[in-house]
Amino acid sequence: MLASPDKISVRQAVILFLTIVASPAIQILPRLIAETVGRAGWLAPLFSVPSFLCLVFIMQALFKKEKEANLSELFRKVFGNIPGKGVLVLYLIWLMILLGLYVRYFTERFLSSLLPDTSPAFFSITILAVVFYAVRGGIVNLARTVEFLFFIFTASFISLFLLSTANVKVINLLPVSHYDILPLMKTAYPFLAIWGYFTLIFFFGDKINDKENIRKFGLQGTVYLLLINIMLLIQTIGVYGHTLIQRLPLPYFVAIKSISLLQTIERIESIAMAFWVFVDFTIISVFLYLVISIIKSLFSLSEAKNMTSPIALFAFFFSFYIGKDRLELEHFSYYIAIPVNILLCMVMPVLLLVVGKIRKKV
Amino acid sequence: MSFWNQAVTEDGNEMVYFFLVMIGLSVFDIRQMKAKKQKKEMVVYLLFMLTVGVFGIFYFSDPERDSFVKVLISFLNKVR
Repeated sequence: MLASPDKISVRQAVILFLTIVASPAIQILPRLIAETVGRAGWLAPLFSVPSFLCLVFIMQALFKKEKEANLSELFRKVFGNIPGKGVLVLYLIWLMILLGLYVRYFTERFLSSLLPDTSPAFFSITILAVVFYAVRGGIVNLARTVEFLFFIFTASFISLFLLSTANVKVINLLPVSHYDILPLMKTAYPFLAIWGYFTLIFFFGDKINDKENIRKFGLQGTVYLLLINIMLLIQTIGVYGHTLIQRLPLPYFVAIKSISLLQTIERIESIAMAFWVFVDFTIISVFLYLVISIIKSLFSLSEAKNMTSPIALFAFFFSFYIGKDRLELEHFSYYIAIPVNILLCMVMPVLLLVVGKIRKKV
Repeated sequence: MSFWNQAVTEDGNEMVYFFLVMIGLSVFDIRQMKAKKQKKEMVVYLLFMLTVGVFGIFYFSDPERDSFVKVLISFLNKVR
């Protein structure tokens, strides 16, 4: 089948997924993993890989017959029109909440690191204006931009990791014993809540070509995720130790701050901030696009580009209304967002496949 | 001033700015949809824009009210 020019490839979709995962992973995982496992935390991603691979295979199975469909259409086809729409409303509400949350995290990060005296509204308006422009340009333009910047992001991330290795202390990472296995298994919960965003990408599945390659690029993406997350945890827990990391608001940022090149070039955290802005831009853009894709399917619209305006305005207000301070945001992420993400991103696809197979719809 | 009410500017005209942006965007979008004769899209658009407008008024009327997370956690505690 010829690839349509107004669609993206599975490879680009996986790159979008890998980029959006970076933002919450850097924000949440080091603290949470250090708290749960301690010094063996850097091994945690290994324990989440099998479940994530199952998700990749599930997505491949779901789109085996329906190569031109998206996830919204599959929900309506498998569960029936009204229950399917009910499920879509749930996803819509949840994604709008997450959209506001990520706008707020973006703002909080600047306030607590580089520019504490600036008005938060300035950051929210700036990022939403850029995202508004990007999303209206369509998913193809967004995916191409992200695809290009993704390699720069990866190169910067790996470079910063290599520069940090001089500060990594082996005593912070070892010894690891069999007593760590049970806590390590528990870490699959936050990892899968974030890696589960793989499911969400298929809400614009109708804009993705060559879906027969989901498994191939999904497996490559798994290797990337595994390596990047291990590097992230070594860089944070390895430099400052798990007891300190679980108390820091931005562990990754603090770990980068400790880098010193030949004891002359220091304070290179602006590089980390630059790529953090890029991953935040990507996650907010993709979530905004997901929301308008679901609205399009839910109301059977021919086009939903114009819906960008009300959703962006909503994200601005909701980013302020969601929580009063960082503590409330973290409570929301740890106690509410993680279980709901597991339910919507990991459990629902399994349910969709099982019901679909029973009803012979997929 | 805490983070909480930072969407509110000192001059108290924030609701006016909000409605100006909302009206500007609505005119721009509705003109596009009208040109393409997208009636259904226009109805859904207006529905969402009105909901956002109501939410904006709700937020600006008292930016110091309990946050969404606080309300949600209290609700979940009650349900338990």
